[in-house]
Parts: sequence; structure tokens; C-alpha cells
Amino acid sequence: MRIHKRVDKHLVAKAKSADKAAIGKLYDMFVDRVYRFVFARVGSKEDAEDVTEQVFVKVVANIGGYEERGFPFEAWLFRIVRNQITDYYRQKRNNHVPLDVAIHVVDPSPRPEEWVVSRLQYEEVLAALPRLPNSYQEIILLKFVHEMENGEISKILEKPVDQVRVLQSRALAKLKLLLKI
Amino acid sequence: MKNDLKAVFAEMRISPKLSPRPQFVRNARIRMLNQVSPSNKRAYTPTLSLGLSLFRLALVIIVSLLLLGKGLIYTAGFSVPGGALYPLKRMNSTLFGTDNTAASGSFQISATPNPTSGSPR
Repeated sequence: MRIHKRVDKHLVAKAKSADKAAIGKLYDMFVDRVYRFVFARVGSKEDAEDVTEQVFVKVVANIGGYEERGFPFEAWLFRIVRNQITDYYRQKRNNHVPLDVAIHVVDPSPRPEEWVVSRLQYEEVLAALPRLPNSYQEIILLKFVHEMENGEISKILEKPVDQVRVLQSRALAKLKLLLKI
Repeated sequence: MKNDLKAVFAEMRISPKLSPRPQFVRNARIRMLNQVSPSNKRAYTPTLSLGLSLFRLALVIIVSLLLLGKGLIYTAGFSVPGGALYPLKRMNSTLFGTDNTAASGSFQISATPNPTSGSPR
């Protein structure tokens, strides 16, 4: 079952006409989901906040040009999220990462005191995600965490639905392999 | 194990530990709304849904066709044998009679067999 409803067309139309109340409502509807998606991709709360805020600034700047025409608002928004994350990594690559920061890589394997607990924890999944290719990370988050439909995902990732389906099963298999389940 | 993964995905969806700080949400909202420029503000006019638009279009087409048909029938009422619309006039009078008195008269005259043109017995 999807936890979110489709965005009201009239709300988007009002937001397009720079209606602050409508833009605020869209923000309230999506800020949590956008943040969760970004956090799972960037792995730091501070960076996730920065990227999330930049996403919504871009939404405000570009919503005037948004035309639905078979492209749901949610897909449009998540395409912005995706581009913003790409920009984030591009900037990060250009910046020098100090060694003491770089060695703080999260080890996904459980600590000895946790070995007795066999239940899978979300921290393990979050730690395993960066070890997957970008497209696999995106598809796992969009499909399984955010429960989006394949049609929507295909629009966000700009890939045919068939390819999205194949990607899903490959991504899930790879994640299971990493988690040893 | 598969259920484990499903449960983890569900937890990632709702866990408060993975949600943004309320203070960040509040402040980012204010900063974002400050970026909304009133200069490109356009009046919002609600548009009809696709279904309603198609229904309206269909209604317009039907009414136009009815009016066109009625106009053709009216014009055909003045046509004479050999004219382009004469078959329509015949068909109309055969099916529905005619409500155009002038045309009806002329049609009746033309349709009535001429007693003088018959072959003499």
C-alpha cells in the first residue's frame, strides 16, 4: 500500500502561480520523503539537510515551467532530487577530503556485541547502499522504500519500464548479497 | 529473511530517526517561501479535468452537427428537382413531413402528378 496520495493538480497549479500557501503545502507533503531519500544517498544529516533545502529552492525557481502532460509532480520533484545529489557528489569530488574524515567509513558488519541479535537493522542497509552502483541505490530507495510505481520510476530515471524492472531485481539481489541474506 | 528486508524498508519509510530535524524543516520552509517571487505571479484559473473537457467538446460537436443538419434541411426546402439538396428535401418529407409551409407548397405542387401529362386512355 502506498503511504502517499497523488498530488492534487489544482495545488500544483496554484503553486505554479507563486501561491505561497500552495508551495508551503507541497513542501510539507514532501520534505520528509525527500530528506529520507537524500539522507540514504549522502549518509550525513548535515549534507542531507543542505541538499534537501537546495532541492526545494530549485522547486520554487522552476515550478513555473512545470507542465504535467503525463509527468506527475512527484516524478518531476524526484528528478530534481536526483540531479541535486549528482551535483553534491560532483562538488564533493572536487573538494579535498582530509584523511581523518576519509577513514571514518562505516563498516556494515555487526559489532561483536550485536552478533547475538540476528534481526536485520536499517543501519546495515544504509551502510550497504553506498557499496551499490548509483542506479541500484536509486531504484531500491524509489521502489522499495518510497513505494513508487515503475511508471513513475521510469520517468525519474529516464529509463524504459522494462529496464526499471530488470534493474530492480538486480539491485535487490546485489543488496541481499552484500547483506548476506 | 525476505520479510526482514521488507520490514527494514518499511522502517526506513517511517522511522523518526531518519526524519529531518523539526527545526530544520521549519527554518528551511521559511527560507524557501522567502524565495517565492511575487513578480511572476499569475492568477490561478482552475481548468476542467480531461473527462469534463472531452464531454464539453463532444457536446459542442453534437450541437453544431444538429444545427448544421437543421440548416441544411431548411435550405433544402427551397430546392427544386435537379438541385443538389433536392434528394434531402425528398427524404425529409418522406420521413418527417415538412414544416416549411412555402417549401411544403412548392413540394406538393411538384410532387403531385400532373393530370394533363398522363397518357390518354
